[in-house]
Amino acid sequence: MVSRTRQKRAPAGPFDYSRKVSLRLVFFLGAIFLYAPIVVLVIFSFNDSRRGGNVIWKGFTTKYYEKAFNNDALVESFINSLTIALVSTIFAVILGAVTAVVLWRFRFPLKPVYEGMVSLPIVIPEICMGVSLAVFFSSFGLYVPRDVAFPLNLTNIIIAHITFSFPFAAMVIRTRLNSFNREMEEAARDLGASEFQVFRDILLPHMRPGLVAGALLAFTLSLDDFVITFFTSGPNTVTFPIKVYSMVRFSVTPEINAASTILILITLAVTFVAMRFQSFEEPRK
Amino acid sequence: MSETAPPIISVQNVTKRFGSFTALENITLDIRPGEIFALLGPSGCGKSTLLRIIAGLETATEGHIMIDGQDMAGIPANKRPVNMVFQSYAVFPHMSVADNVAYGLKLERLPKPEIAAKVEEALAQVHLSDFAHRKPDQLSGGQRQRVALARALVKRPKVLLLDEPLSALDAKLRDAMRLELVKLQESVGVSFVIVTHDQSEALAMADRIAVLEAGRLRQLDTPAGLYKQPVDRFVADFIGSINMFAVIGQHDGATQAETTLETAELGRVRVSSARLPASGQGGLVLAVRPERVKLADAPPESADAIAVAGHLGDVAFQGNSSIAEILLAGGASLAALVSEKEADRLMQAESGSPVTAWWRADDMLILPENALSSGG
Amino acid sequence: MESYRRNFRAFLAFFTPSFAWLVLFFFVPLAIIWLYSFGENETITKIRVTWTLDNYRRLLEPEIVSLFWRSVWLSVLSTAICIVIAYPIAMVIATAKPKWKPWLLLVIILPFWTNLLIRTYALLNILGTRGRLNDLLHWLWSMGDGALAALGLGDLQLLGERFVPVKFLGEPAGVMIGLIYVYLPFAVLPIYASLERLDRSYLEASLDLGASQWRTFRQILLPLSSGGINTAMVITFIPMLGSFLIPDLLGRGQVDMIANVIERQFKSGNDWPFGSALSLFLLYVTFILLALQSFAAMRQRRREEARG
Repeated sequence: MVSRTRQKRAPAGPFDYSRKVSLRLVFFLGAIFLYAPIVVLVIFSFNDSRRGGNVIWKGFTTKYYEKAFNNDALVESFINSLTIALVSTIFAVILGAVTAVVLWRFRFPLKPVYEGMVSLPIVIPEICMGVSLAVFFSSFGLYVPRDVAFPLNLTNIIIAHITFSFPFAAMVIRTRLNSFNREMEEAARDLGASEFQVFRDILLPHMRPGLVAGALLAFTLSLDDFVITFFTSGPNTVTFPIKVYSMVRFSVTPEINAASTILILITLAVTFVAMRFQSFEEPRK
Repeated sequence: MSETAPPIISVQNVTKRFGSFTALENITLDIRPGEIFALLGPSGCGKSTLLRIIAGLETATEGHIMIDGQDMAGIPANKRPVNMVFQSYAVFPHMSVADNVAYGLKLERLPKPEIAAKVEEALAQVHLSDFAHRKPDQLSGGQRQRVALARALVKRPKVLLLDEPLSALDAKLRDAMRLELVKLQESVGVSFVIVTHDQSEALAMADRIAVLEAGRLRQLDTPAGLYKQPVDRFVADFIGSINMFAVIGQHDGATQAETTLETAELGRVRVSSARLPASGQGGLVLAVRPERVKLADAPPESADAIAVAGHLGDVAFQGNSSIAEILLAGGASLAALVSEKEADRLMQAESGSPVTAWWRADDMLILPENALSSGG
Repeated sequence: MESYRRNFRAFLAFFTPSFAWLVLFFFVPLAIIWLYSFGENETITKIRVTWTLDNYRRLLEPEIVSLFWRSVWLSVLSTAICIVIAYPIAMVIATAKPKWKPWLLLVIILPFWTNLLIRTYALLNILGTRGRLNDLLHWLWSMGDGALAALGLGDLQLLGERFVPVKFLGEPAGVMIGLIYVYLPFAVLPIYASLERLDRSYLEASLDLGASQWRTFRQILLPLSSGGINTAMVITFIPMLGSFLIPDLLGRGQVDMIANVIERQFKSGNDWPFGSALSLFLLYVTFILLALQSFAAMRQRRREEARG
């Protein structure tokens, strides 16, 4: 018996914390804390002031975006970053997927040890991983020759990025696999599918949202990374964060704000795509 | 139990709306001191909401709750003289059994020795004395429920509220626990208000039952009253099993005192006009309990018998009795409760053999679709 | 799950690539710095492993001890503040209407998807003596001063004669703001998850038994969400302790943490053996914390399983 009369809002229950003004205020202030610096950064990317560009507002301009786009070193570093992210994502998803399948499907001796090994790159401090890879590449003579053609000159960084991002991808894909109904596989086999056909026709389609989510995560992680790249990059293989870092150390200019704003926009776009994907894949109830 | 004493809880015109959804509509009922009172209804009927309003965990949109003559408006759950046994028991997992039971007493700032004594007594009452120092994760579901009971009763509430107390237990334990709850209520003497969706549970335990459906009170009566005199089709159907035939036509009988009702299955049936329901909405139904249906080879001579011819269908064995299915013309069927001996005879008979089902006109109920005079 | 033996070739096909990759590009590099941590510099780039313990002995030098101490207290304090801010935020999200939850979560997670360097740079701009935060403090100061003047207390100069900008950059406060800013979302998520899982009837039972809201929070909600708090502490503390960029940019070389000193050994100091020893020390601390955390989580899980 549903009556359609609209009533004033029901009083908050004893544990409707989301309706307590004091708690809402904390949430609100927390959100301001998280966003204010970024908003200020974006605003000042339009500031018409060369020196100390982040202090005094001198009027609106888009010239620093123009400047950023005409900065060859910056653009090159950006292309490097995107290339590294794309290549490492492909490898990370493949490695992540096989890792996830092993952990999900098989029982084998020392499995917890293997599980621990896979999750180590997620938990150890970045600096340790960066340092060890730097030493590894130099002491094993794995230094990529200076004049090697693009994108092979990025090999070291790509290897490093695959190493830290594939465990994340594996984690995401495994979560997806856990929701797989083993009876589907048995039904397919019962209907005459071979091992490979089961994998291709049943398991892979089920994994797809996990693969996409894993790929997006690996991509963002790669684009985001500073510390590990800082230790594995050479003077000729500069990524976007490394370039921005050296610019920041040199001086703070609106050009950095402009470049940062562009990267923030890309991140927002990737996040948006990720969310769209999730809402597509998850059946609406 | 006393029928004249003032009610311990008085629910007055309580309405609860969630946005545009009405969970409870104008509920008024009294709970007497010392009775077991059941709130019965299908899931989503609002019975748990009413219990939570009494406990103070929800606020009624309109209406009042009086506990022991005192209006509870504005009094939060932690200040009300009632306690609750939650459906999930909500036994605090990080406290021992004894700490769980003592929790409410500590909040009353009772002296420590007194708390210890009361806890011990309460645990003895629910046969958990040996488990005082266990953690809830070391207990079975039934034991956890006892902890929840002890924890609530040790506060000496004026009324104990139980939200689906038996639903989380397995079938065997459930039957044992029914009895135990009744015994416990007798020994502590406070009123129990039990929310349940299981009619057999309500019939077995409660002194009085309120049947709720879609937020409205359909009927409030003793178990026997509900079973014998359901006010409408919903209550009749919900309490026990019953055969029902929709009335498709109503004609004046030979005399003023008689009315002829027409159904597809039974044809025309003459009934006393006095038995027609005075109020209600929707059509009428004729209803008869399976245990009132008798089987014979030919229609009985008796004038007040109502008979219908059919064919024998399946016979479902139920232990000391069986349910025989009688297939009627037009695809309808009828259930009859038959004795063990008769079931044996029917089993021997060929399925599909003709049979006549009959019952006394007085055993048949004439019910409105909905006893409530207006829909919400 | 099936035994690896039942379909050994399939198992190998799935197992080998990731295992080999991990060994080659993760464990071998770690093994090398482990070896180097027992080594000595022969020339600037040549290191001989002599199994000396000198590099570890140097960890006890007062300079390094005070570095550890600074790193630890900065991280501990920042973690604590993070938890205190994150808990109410998680409470709000966990009890919000279902249709709001994903959006509120997004508000908290989105910054975490934004590049760490950019976020640190954004803070760098705000925390300067002429930055926006000091503008805000200045405004608050003048409001406060105005209020005092209105109360007739203006002459007492309770808030000082004039506004003095607070120095954040190159100070521990600035580094801490950076650590909290970057890792706050990390702290919210596990607390949110544990509150979300929590059966609300525990809280209602407490209220029903006569406890006040505050008492219910302290005695029921807080203990029952301790698992989430533990996880939140560990996953904020570990990256804070090893953070490089935040102390580097916001500390301006005045507030070094462990990672900054490690970086210097490799990038400019060229003392790889000592840098390796420092890295391994950081690694061991991380492992110990993780072991403690997973031990606590295991106990919690066992309890939850027993609970059914």
